[in-house]
Amino acid sequence: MLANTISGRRWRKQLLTLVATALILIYILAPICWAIVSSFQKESALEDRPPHFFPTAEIFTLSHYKFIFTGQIDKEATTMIQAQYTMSGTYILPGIVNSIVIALAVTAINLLFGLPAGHAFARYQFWGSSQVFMGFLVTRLLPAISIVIPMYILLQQFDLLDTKRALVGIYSAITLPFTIWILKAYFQNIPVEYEEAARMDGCGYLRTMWRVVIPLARPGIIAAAIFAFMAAYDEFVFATVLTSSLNSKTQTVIIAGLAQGLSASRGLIAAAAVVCFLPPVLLAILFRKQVVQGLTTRFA
Amino acid sequence: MTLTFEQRHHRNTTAFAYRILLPSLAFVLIFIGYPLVYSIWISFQDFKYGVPTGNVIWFRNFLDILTSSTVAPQFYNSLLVTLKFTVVAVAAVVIISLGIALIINERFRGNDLLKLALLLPYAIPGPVNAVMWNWIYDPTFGVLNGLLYQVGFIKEYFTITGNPDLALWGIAFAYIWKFVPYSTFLFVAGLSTIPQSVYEAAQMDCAGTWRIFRKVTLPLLMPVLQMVLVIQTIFALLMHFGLVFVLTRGGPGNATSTLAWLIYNESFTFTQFGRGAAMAIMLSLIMIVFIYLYLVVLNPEKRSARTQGA
Repeated sequence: MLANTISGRRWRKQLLTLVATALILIYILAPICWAIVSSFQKESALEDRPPHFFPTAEIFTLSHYKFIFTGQIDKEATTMIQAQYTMSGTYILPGIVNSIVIALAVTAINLLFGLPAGHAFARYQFWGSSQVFMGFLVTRLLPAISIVIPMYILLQQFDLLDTKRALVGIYSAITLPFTIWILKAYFQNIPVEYEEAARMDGCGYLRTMWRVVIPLARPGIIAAAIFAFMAAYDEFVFATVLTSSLNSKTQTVIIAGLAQGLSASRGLIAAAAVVCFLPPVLLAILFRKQVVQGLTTRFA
Repeated sequence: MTLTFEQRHHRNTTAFAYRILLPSLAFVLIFIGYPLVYSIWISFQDFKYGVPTGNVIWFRNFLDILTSSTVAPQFYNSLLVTLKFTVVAVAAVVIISLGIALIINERFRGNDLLKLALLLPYAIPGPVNAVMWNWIYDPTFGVLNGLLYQVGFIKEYFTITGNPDLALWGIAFAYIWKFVPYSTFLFVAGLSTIPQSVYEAAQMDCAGTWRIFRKVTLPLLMPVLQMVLVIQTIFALLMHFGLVFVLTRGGPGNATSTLAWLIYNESFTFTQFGRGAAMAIMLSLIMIVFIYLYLVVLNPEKRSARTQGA
């Protein structure tokens, strides 16, 4: 009798968990699914009431993606839709390329300089170390908007407005503190004896780093690299103020501008959103273990 | 105190450490430190875009923002909008993510799928998220209107971003969706440090689910909860900018004109650099309170050392 009620309670609890999980999955996935479903629908179908929740054969189209990747408009498309495929639609791809180039450069700088810096904070007790470290952390949390005005003026003076170089510099400065923080945490979890042994065997600083420290801290390094990449790929405040042409406009700026065009094709905007979120989403899924672990190492 | 290997073998660790830190320090000082100081100097001038340098007027910009009949009402409105948004967004993010974390903590087959799904909103760039919700909220063909209409919940399609009473909550909903995953992961990590034996003991005493949550889980989770509250507040004060930019541009009227938006608008639409910089400094001062709470009072360094030691 007792066993019965307990297993009954457990069964009910499991059912509740299952229902809750399903609801949460719908909450998380529905907005993304809607963007994807919309991106494969013909413009006329998107203007139907009620909306089509599934793309059936007669409303399915690849023309939005085709336009983004090739700049070509389907022959059967009406003139109205041609007008809706504004020029900015062709800017999506160059915008993503800009974003990726900038993000890769920022990631490289983060690893090149942040890795030894994180190691130094983890291993050496030197004069002013905790103050300098705290300084790094404060800069990571300060609002970008408070330095965007002086940045604009300074870049104008140095003729660096609308360049990728400027964005790479700024994003590196923003991301380095976090990289240093998370790498410091990883290095502190590695017993110092490995490094000491390498040093005893006559390895210098660089050799010890390369042969011992980096291999041991690999998950942390992957996480730090992904965070730096995603932060640079996501950034919007600086990008919208400091860029003005395809020279340096990132995907965040392009897609925000595209959505504000009153006559822009809705299917095109949906497809652009999907293309823009694919790189960071794939990265996060591919390295999900390191990302989740990295997110929670320092509770920040 | 035990000496590290470096200290035993290098006479001058300080010089060596600073040589290693130099590039990182240079980046931060050049691209954040110097502009920060410069922005204070700009806030003391009646600096306008296009004019080489303004006159130094010291605290006049700050006084105008707080007292003048033209700017002050806007500033106080933005302060209120930001406060409303932050309170609602942070509360909702914490409650929803704690709920999801508790379910993930139940350890069943579906929870890997849940964790994987949570990564998606986290990874989607802010402006892209804004564009997605802009299409969902669309007043003429949006799916939200379509769904509510089909279910019979509404008689006519309605606008969210164009309605002064709804716009801010539309933004908040989209914001919450994107920021729930991050705190969920933090809560999941926090919950996993609570030993299973504690729950078993509580169950032995025949405590109900709610009672166990209140008397066992919540107190043990408090350090993580405080951390999440403060870090989410820091995020909420700023990270909504892309959403406001795409969905409402501060409107309708100034119903969604948050501080971040007001600063942007004042500086780059009305080209009032001096006044914009002064507002930005005031926002930074507000944020420094929370940054202090986070880094000094709660101190994630010491906390994680404690949990890692355990």
